Amino acid sequence: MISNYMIDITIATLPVLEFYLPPAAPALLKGHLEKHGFTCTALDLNLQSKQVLSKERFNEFFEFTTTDKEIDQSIKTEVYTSWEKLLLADNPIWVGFSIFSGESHNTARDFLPWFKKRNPKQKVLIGGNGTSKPEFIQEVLSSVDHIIYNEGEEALVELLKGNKKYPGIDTPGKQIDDLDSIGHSNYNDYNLGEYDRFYAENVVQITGSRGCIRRCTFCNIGHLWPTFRWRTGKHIFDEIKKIHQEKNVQHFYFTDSLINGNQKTYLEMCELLADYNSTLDKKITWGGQYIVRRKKGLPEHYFEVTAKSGAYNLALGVETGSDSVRHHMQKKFDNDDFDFFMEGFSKHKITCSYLMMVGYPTETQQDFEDTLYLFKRHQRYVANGTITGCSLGTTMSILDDAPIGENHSDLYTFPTTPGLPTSTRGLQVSRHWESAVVPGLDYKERMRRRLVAQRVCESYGWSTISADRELRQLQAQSQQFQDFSTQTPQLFP
Amino acid sequence: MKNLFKDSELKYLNKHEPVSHDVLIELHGSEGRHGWPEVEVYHNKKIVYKGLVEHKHTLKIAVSKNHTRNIFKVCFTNKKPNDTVVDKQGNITHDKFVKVHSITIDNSYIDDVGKLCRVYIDEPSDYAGSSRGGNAMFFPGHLKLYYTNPPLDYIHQVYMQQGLFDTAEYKADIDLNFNRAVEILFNHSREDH
Repeated sequence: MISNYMIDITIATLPVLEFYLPPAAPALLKGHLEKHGFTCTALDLNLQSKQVLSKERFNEFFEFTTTDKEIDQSIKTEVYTSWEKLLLADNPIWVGFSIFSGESHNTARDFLPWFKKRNPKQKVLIGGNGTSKPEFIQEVLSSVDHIIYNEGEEALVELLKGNKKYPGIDTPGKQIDDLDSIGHSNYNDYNLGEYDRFYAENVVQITGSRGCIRRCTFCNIGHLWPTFRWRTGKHIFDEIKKIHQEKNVQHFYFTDSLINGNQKTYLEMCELLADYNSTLDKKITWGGQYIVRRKKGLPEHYFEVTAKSGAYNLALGVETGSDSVRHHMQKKFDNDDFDFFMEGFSKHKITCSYLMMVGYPTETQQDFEDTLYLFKRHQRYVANGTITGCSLGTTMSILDDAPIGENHSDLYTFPTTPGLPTSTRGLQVSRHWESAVVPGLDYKERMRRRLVAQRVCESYGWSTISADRELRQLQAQSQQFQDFSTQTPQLFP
Repeated sequence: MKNLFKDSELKYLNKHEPVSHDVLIELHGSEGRHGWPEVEVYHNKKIVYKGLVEHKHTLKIAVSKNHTRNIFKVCFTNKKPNDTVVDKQGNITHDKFVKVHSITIDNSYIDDVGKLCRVYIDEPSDYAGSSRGGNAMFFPGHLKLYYTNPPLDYIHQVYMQQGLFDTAEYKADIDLNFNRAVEILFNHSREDH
């Protein structure tokens, strides 16, 4: 009997993700599956939602995806039917959804039942970091056939082979120690020209490491990936060179929590890229999340080789201008190290952006003003083009699987409110804490600080990356807290 | 806006007022047949340096906040035609020239000097146009830097990043959402009081 199936699997992302970078997971899994002889189509449904809707309807849909707001069903139907068409276009045996984080839960909770109801025979699986929440899994369990936990590459290959007993398939997965064993990403299914022009030209994402060398208190990466692992500099370089030669892509963005976690591997990659760049008229550039290292111990050629390798638009987890807050966060660098780093970047023309966080539980008014002062102090790097912008975020969330959620409950309290949902559904409870050590630091004060930071940044010419989305999200959350507070005043006092 | 800010925070807003600051000009000199290049450096009409540039020389000039418009002029004064030494094959082996390697204004380091400065050279006709840009003077002439005070605001405008996050549409979107968020914050506060 001839099978009607055309491909083994279609893998798609669900909103909410950024619109200026093609999502890495489907492309990485496609490349890895193809290495093992399977056929795969990679889809970005996040981008598709923006393309299929008018601007007004998309804004509504965006509010639904970020806050679970009730919206006109016809908007969802318009999006979902377009997604369904794409998902089934290649007649796949499996449809897989990449749940990148909790940000995709609202969409997944709504769409997966809709899709399964209409396509009951279609085999569906989900995976990704967003599957780590049991309450979310409970809600979508009846709409999926399998869940791939933790790192999915090996488990997915085994599932497609029919081995459903492999660790990671509906059971906790195991870490992949040798990242060099993973296939190179394949971005052929994406139209790279459709993404927002964060870069002037096409850009693709690649992965150089998993996990993190730090255990920052606010971050759950250590929970998701307990061990830091990395690819060799040569393996990363080979992938970049391959994509550059095959797709004529010059710009690369790392998905890593930090690119320079392993200094030896990092410098090996930079040296190879610097040599390769010296042969090219149009140079390779690469960017991604980057850690500020202590100035002590940095090799002399660190900034020079970083610049020659094509470092561009590195996202620095600065978080705050206050040394004491940063110290509490376990970031392990201070303003002195940071200033040294920025001078190195400035002298070698390495562009970067700052990732900031407003309203850490220990952030006093003075700490907050230290952050405002940082925007003023570093205007000189904005002026000379070293700083391309900063992301101010949507204020501090307490994640229960981050060190602050696990070990620092003395720092904050959550309102004990009858009727307040205990899950993240509908109301983002993780954002609604009040500091136990800084009087008056509640959601409303954090929102005020976030807005003040916006205006101070702008006044010094800083571009605020994703501020349109963040402010919309902040606004929707605030409105939601406010609406809720008519019944429970302590929520938005 | 005032309601949003606490009094102690207002000082962090950029008031775009002139500031006292330093300007550092790093000059690199190359020796010709008759020695090192000589330069005269002016801040507005006042001469702030006159002398030779042997290999490297860095000038530090204090600019008062009262100077709202600033013109710096670096004049290359002692180049002679036979300063250029040429070998039998016609290759230049030595030449007298001066280069403005970098300018640091109010702690902002800029080595793309050509982006900020204009070079005016009394050049031979067969070199016409060849040395208008950049930061080096191979012929007598001068390099001019102009900016208004506060300098960082001015430089930022010159360097202005043009990307996704600088479009008018994007900024309008931010403003709209910012104002709505402020409204939510304060509407609720008013109800409280």
